[in-house]
Amino acid sequence: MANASNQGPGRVLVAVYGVFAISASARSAVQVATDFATAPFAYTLSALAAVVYLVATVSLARGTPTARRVAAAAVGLELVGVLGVGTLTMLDPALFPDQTVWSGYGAGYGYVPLVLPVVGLAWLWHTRPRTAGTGTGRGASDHPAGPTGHDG
Amino acid sequence: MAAYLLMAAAAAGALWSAVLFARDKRVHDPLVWLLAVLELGLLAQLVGGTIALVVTDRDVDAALFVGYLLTAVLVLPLGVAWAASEKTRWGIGVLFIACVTVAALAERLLQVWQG
Repeated sequence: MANASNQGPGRVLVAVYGVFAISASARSAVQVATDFATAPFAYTLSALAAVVYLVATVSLARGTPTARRVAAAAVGLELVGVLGVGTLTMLDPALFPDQTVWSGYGAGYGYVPLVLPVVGLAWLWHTRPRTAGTGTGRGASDHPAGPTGHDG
Repeated sequence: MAAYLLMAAAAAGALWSAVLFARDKRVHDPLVWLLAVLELGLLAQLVGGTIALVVTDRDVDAALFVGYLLTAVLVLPLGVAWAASEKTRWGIGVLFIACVTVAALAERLLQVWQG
């Protein structure tokens, strides 16, 4: 059970990704809909960030072998994005008349955007399929969705 | 303003979640009931906030404001649904994140409202 990317601590990780997916999408939708022309570069990156967070959330939540590969790609892209955009906002602030999630390495979000991809990659590594020989990893499709309601 | 009340309730939910998490509990009904009450408050905020936005002569960024109102309504149902099928304490961890998010959204709403 602990091997699946969406179980245990992975559940909280997916939740945090979900928060960023929702807030980045909402922010991006507002930016693109209201005044895209003000900061096309920043707003395009905002939209890209939203897509990356959405893909990462869904693939981490699914946790199948294919989804894990997609998740690794998305989380890797996220790391590149936050480092790249963070550096760009330092070097050339004029490129960014408005904020993105990744501006200043995610300073506007308590640097969570900087920490999250590192944790995500570490978690994917930690839960990697370890069964040697058989090529199939461990899926995560079979957890009984039991009702809640009783204490541990 | 009602947003402060919601922020306090969300903070209470976060605190309670943290305590339950530390005591290695699973998602249980009393906490979910608190979140249900909080969700009702958030729905009221969506209605009240939209009315206030129409009535006010403040210069509020309408799209942003409504975006935050709608997002705030979504967070708890999604969080509870995601937490419900987790059999360990980490389900409580999900609810903690949901509560912190609601508190943060309430604070942003105040900022946007105050311009």
